[in-house]
Amino acid sequence: MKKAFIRILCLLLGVNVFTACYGPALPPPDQELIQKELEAMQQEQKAWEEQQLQEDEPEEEAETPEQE
Amino acid sequence: MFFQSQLLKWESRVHPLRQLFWECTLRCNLRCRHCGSDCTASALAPDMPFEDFEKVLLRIKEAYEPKEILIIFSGGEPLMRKDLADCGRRVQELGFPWGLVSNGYLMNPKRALELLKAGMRTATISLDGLEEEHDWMRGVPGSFARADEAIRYLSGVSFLGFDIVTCVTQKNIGQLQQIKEYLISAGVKAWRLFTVFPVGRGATDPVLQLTGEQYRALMEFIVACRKEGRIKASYGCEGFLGPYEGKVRDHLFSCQAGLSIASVRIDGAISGCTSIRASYSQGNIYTDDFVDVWEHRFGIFRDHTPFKTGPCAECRWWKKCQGNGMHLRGENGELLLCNLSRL
Repeated sequence: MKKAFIRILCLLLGVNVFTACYGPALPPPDQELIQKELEAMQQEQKAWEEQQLQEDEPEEEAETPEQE
Repeated sequence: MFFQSQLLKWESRVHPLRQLFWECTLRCNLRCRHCGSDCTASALAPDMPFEDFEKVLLRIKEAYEPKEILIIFSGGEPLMRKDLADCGRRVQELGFPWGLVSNGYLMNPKRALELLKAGMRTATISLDGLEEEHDWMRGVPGSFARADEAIRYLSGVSFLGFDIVTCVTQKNIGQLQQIKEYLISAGVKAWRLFTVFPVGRGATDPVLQLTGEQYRALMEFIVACRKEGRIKASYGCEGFLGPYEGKVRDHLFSCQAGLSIASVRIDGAISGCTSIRASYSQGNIYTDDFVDVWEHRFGIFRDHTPFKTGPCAECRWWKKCQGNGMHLRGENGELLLCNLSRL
């Protein structure tokens, strides 16, 4: 009860309690959103890696005759 | 202000643990001019095995609600640990949210994704200027380019609490406007600026210290950024600021070390935050019970009365300042720096 009262009081006074030297605030843990975004990021990363592979291949092919 | 001093007393009594720093390694891949830690001792201090820290977390989980305590991996450079994602995954399994502080050099998209999948929910990347100034400060060419890649990637992650931290020195004070524009263009929403405190490599380098005039200009710059509202700029926890209290930070100053913040250092020492002198360690995870230490020690962190000496003895701001941040105190309690005196 006392804790709640002080917290409300702090809110009214515009005082953030327990803010700390480490900056970023923890966002709300919306697991569904996190999962969705992670999946999209994974796909993006995979696509990028595949693209890199494709870009590398012609170079390797071009180098092969010279090496031979 | 009556309420503020009452609030501090209440915080001291309740001291709910909210952030726990884990100094997981002292190894570092950069050679920062302002480094306040003992990274040069890396060869002498091996990384702490995760199993040792895990025992602390298991004990904390018995006593407190883990989801309310943010675990922050710090260093050295935490990404130097190859098992960092495994550590993070286990921390998450135990129910704790976790984040890290990094120079961003090793944070490529692949690594970032691995860490995000392992439960990383907050990240801070250090950036000390645009390319020339940042690379100069960090001592390694190419470090800006690597930090830039990390910043652009992480700022796009909606579920990540993300900010940039910048050490303001004589070298970059004239460039703050350009840095701000760069950060905004990179999608950054929160920016913390701080100034060097006289410890570690930066203690004796005059280029790193601002003059009084520059310091006031920094405060005015932050005030202007906050009014403008394009990026949430704030000043770090470098002590009490008198007339600038409430203008450059979201909260009024109080050193939270030992009130809501603890750290486990590389050697197992239990302290407030990792920037505080070793002489203030309150115990060690290898010999003491963490929860017992948190509950029953930390006396000097929760009652700063012994610091009311020297320049603080007669200071009219004592009630609000309470002797400044714990990291601004020397081994014997002496005040190393009072930024208020520069304003």
